[in-house]
Amino acid sequence: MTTKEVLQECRLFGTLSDADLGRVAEMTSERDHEAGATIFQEGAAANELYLLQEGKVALQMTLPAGEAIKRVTIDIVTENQVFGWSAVVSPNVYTLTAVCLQRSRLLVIDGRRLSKLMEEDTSLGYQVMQGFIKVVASRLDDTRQVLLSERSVT
Amino acid sequence: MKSNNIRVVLASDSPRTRDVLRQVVEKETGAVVIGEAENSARALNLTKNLRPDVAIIDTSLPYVVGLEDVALSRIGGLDTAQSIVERTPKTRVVLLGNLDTGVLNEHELAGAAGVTLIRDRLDRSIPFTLRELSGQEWLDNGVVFANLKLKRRRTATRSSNLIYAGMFLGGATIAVGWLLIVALWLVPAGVYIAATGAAVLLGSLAAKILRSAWRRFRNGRQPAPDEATATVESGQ
Repeated sequence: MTTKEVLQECRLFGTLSDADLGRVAEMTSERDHEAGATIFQEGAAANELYLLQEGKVALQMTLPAGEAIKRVTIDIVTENQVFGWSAVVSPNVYTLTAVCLQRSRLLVIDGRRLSKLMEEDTSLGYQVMQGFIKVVASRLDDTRQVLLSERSVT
Repeated sequence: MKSNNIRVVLASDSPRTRDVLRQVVEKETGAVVIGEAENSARALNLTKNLRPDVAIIDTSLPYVVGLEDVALSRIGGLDTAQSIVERTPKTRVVLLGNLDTGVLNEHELAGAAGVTLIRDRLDRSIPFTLRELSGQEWLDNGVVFANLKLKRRRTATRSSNLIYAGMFLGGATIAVGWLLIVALWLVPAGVYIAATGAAVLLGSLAAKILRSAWRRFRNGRQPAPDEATATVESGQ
């Protein structure tokens, strides 16, 4: 599968034209991680956006728990999903920690170059941001359902 | 219960998954399941109270309730594993990442004997046993990120053999078919060649008969010189 095809499978870039997919593909590279590896840490500078090609990644938030620090999983990323959105959203600092639950293959997208492209080509930027909104809305809906179910139990 | 038994707690919200995991544990000599949990809260309670040697946790473990078609309700596996390591450091935690990828359906065909625990590294898959977990340096902060893997089954080998036999038979049939096609193409040519050969043969025989008749006619009833020589030579 070519990089353009990988991008097209993803909800975020699926509506882009072939030429635009090619422009985004130029700012990508592939990277593999072992299971258990940390891809990025909460609080670190966000320079890269990730598209998961293979594997499974947990996104964890750090919570203070007395003197200790506790991590709570907010979401699990599966194939063809994007994570690390902080790379294209100011102030470009990761708000979660990403941990590989399985051996994972990532398509790494240069966040700065993508942000610049979205600013220069507003049509492309609009389509990508619409994709972001769809993903966030879907996740918010899932969160509501989980919250409701757990409140009804407790 | 023997003191060297490996005491195991299982955690998954799917009874079927727990059943498969129990079979995988019990096929290992000396390993026993001492508790099963359907969510994170119960898994933490069990491990705190029972202090097992090993806890096997499904990555897709819900905190409280797993909702149908809501993946976000099943994200508690990693947190549970990390909490167990923190609260009971002597417990080795195996976090299984691929229980939602159809491996359980294939397990029904393979049986527990066909399933192994592996660490799926980038370069290769490394099988391990629960007994091997103690004292290992490759534990990532007390958690083993692992998968279930199916061994190659005998039925699969038979299937492969059948496929290869089918491929050979198919190939051979195609070859015979092409030979027949080529042979049929050559039939008209063969007929012409044979007919030509027959004509040449008949022509030669006719020529021989005509030549003999001509010699007899030319020499009257006298034997031909070469025939007289032949008679003398044979009498010597």
